[in-house]
Amino acid sequence: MRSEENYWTRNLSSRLSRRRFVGGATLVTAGAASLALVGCGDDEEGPAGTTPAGQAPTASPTAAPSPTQVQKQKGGIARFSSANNTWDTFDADRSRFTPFATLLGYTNLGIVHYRSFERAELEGALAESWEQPDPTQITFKLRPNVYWHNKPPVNGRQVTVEDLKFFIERNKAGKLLDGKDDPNFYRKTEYATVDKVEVVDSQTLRVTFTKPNPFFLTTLAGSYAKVQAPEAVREFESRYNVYSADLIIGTGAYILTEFNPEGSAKLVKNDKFYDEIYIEGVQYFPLFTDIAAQQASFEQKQIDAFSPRTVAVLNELLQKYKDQIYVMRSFSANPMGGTYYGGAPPWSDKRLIGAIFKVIDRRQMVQLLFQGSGAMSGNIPPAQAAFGIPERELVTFEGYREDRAKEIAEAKQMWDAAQGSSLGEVVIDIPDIWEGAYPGIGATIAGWLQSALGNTFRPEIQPYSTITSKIVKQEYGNGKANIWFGWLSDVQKLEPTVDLFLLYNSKQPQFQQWAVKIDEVDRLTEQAMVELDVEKRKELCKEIERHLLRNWGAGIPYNVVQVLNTLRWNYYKVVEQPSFVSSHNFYRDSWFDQTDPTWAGRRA
Amino acid sequence: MRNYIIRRVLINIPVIWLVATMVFFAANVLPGDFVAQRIAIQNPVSNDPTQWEAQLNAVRRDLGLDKPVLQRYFIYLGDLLRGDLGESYETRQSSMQGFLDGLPYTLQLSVMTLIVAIVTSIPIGIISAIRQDTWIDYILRVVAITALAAPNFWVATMMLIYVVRLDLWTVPLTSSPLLWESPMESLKLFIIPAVAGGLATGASVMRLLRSTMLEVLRQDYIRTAWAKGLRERYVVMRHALKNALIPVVTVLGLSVATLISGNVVFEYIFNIPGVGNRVLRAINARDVPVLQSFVLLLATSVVFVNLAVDLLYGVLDPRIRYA
Repeated sequence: MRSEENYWTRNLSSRLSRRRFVGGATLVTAGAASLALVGCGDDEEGPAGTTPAGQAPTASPTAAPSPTQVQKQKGGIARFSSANNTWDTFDADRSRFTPFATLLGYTNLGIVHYRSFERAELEGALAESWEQPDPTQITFKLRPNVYWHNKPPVNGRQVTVEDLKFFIERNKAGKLLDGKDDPNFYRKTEYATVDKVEVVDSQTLRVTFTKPNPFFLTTLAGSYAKVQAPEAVREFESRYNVYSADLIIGTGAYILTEFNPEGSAKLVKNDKFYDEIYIEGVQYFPLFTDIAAQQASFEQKQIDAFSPRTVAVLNELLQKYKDQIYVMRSFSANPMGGTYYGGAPPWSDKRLIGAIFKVIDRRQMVQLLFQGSGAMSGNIPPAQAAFGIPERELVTFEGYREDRAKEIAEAKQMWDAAQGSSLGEVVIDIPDIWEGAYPGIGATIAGWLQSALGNTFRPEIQPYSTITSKIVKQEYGNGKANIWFGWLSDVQKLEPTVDLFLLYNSKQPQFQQWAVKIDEVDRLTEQAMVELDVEKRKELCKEIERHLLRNWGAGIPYNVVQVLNTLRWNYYKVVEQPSFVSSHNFYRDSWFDQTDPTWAGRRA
Repeated sequence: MRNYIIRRVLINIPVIWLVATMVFFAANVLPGDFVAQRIAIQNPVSNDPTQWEAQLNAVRRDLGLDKPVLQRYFIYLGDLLRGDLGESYETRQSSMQGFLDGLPYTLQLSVMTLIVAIVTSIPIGIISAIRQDTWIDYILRVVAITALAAPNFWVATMMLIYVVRLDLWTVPLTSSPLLWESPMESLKLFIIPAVAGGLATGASVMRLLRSTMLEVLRQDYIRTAWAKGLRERYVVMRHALKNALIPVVTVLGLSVATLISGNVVFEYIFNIPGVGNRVLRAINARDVPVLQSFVLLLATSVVFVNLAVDLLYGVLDPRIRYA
């Protein structure tokens, strides 16, 4: 218990509190630096002239100069280890794989994007500015002198308002060029309220909505909402699954010149980019296969950043390279948890699922999985902390309290009252890659449940694809005594409102995965979806989370999140922990201090 | 001899067909198919159940996986006869091209490993045999058993860590140069896995060579050689070693095959983009065309390495003749 107190004392008193943390995708490693992080912070800390994401602004913000800008130097090629790269498509509108989102951030601009993800500030990208005269209309002013990369068939022409129109209309329609619906336009629902997209003049685009949409700018700032040239889409649509550098034609700071799906990529700076670029190029190497090789590469300055998997290695390196390297911490974007189907027996009996909810020792999970470098979470992960309840409140909820003996005793009472012993053996599906990353985790969780509740809990290793298939087919519960634990989906937005609506509102298709119907959550999620005031939405989200926690997670029986520790050599400066949501800022927020003593010996 | 080779090649054809069939069916019954994996792995709990099947079916159609397994098997065999090994599900590039891209790395590592194995095992095996039951024999046998017992991937990882820790040289893990591209850089990268793998292979060869040498050294013709007053070096190298090498060559020939597959671990650790690394990636991604074509090509290479080893016997022992 002592170590748990230390853990909470450390986390609550640390500067790295939930409200200030940024998060990162577990699939992404060190250089990960650039591959996948999501973040959130206090809106009130944003500089004047910036707009918190999700809030409907009346006019676009102006960029405030960074105080560190004077120290920036140009030059150098950044080198990172790639993630365990898998690719679905090179079509931005139809992808949902975070490594591709990172790549897109380098190569393609959206209409708007995050100036700072940590501070939730938006700025114009292809649009230089925007105005929202009323809640059903936004007008975008095109940034002048922005050019496509010089690759056929676009050949470096200037960006037009028609390009932006094509992008919005394609996402709204969700159809391929032959007119067929394609279910892989994953973000189609986010464009559903778009009524008309009109070219007002050569510099102005007007978007009209059927009803107020407080989230449209956030949608446009999404990591996949990057504009592709219409002629490229027309030529490549049927070939976007052939992963070639030729297919990526953007307007961003870097041009993709080489790409190998096994995890290597080379990008060079775009000389016609509208802003100053500090780092000349970026290279990725597939070192994710072995952490020892990755560490060796970092220590020999062949890569510029590294995320150790264990706290022991982190501490050893910090000690060994004292005053030469530094660490930046961030929350992983992929929480760990599990799901169950609550729409039918056995898990429709809330006493049964409540007992499991209470037995899971979240503090121990943080210790076991992350050696203490992590945090407990409710249904709203720490990366979206501004919208979630604070830790001091979280620890008052059942399942989160420090008195484990009491939790377990109450859990056993609930289990017995619901005749849990009659379920017999309970199977816990564990994803193969999760068990691979954390050997023995399945047996540990099963052991806790077995010793607390009495039944046999048997871990069974399964491929993720099998587990996902069972989730959508409502096969965790629904007549079977089974459940699964592993990684949950990554967090890609600053604000959870839309996801809360899609996942927990009983009228939405995704809700059918767990089907724990809570009338109050239905009402609050619908209310939040039309609430234009972001502060009120924050309160609504917190209230939704309280209801979800009182209902034993409403489909998600526990949530813990890892804190990633990314090491960098002192010569490698970053303004803000880069992420897959904000990799477009790499050109501006990262640079090499070539006067720093650690720059010496860096592999050329 | 020519007839023998033709006969052996013809016998190998059904072997290769059998391997192709086994690999095809084994790869197609792996749990968790590529399509489900592709759709599932990134967003395990944000799927829309109403769209799930449609998404799976769209990708299945795209890859031709909507056809029955038997139909796909005959398509596969037909393509094979035309020399088409299929396209990777993941990269949409030719499987053959992937294999050819990886082959130079795997061959270089295998050859270097074999050189280390031969250079260490043959002198040690000879010394150990001719100095049987002396202190040097005991030491060399202990070294050999240690090299056999220590997992070679662990030895390689430890060597990597200590090379970095002692700052002996920079291991070019981010560039993977081949010997003919950048000799020194290539050696810096390949020498660690080659030594780790070579010591393990060499240890078993050394033990085999020692025992066959001991057997040969007790033969009458060796005794005759000693009686003629020949020098030890001449007796050992000219008369004993040549005859003792026949089983060693068999083992070394077979170890070429195991080296190619055993190098998977080293290629994985040292980020060497060889065939083994690609096979491992294909297994993880359930990329069946890559998996089945690589396994088939590796099996074919083993079959022909065996043939080459058989032919080599004739060179070492003139009494062996093929008809």
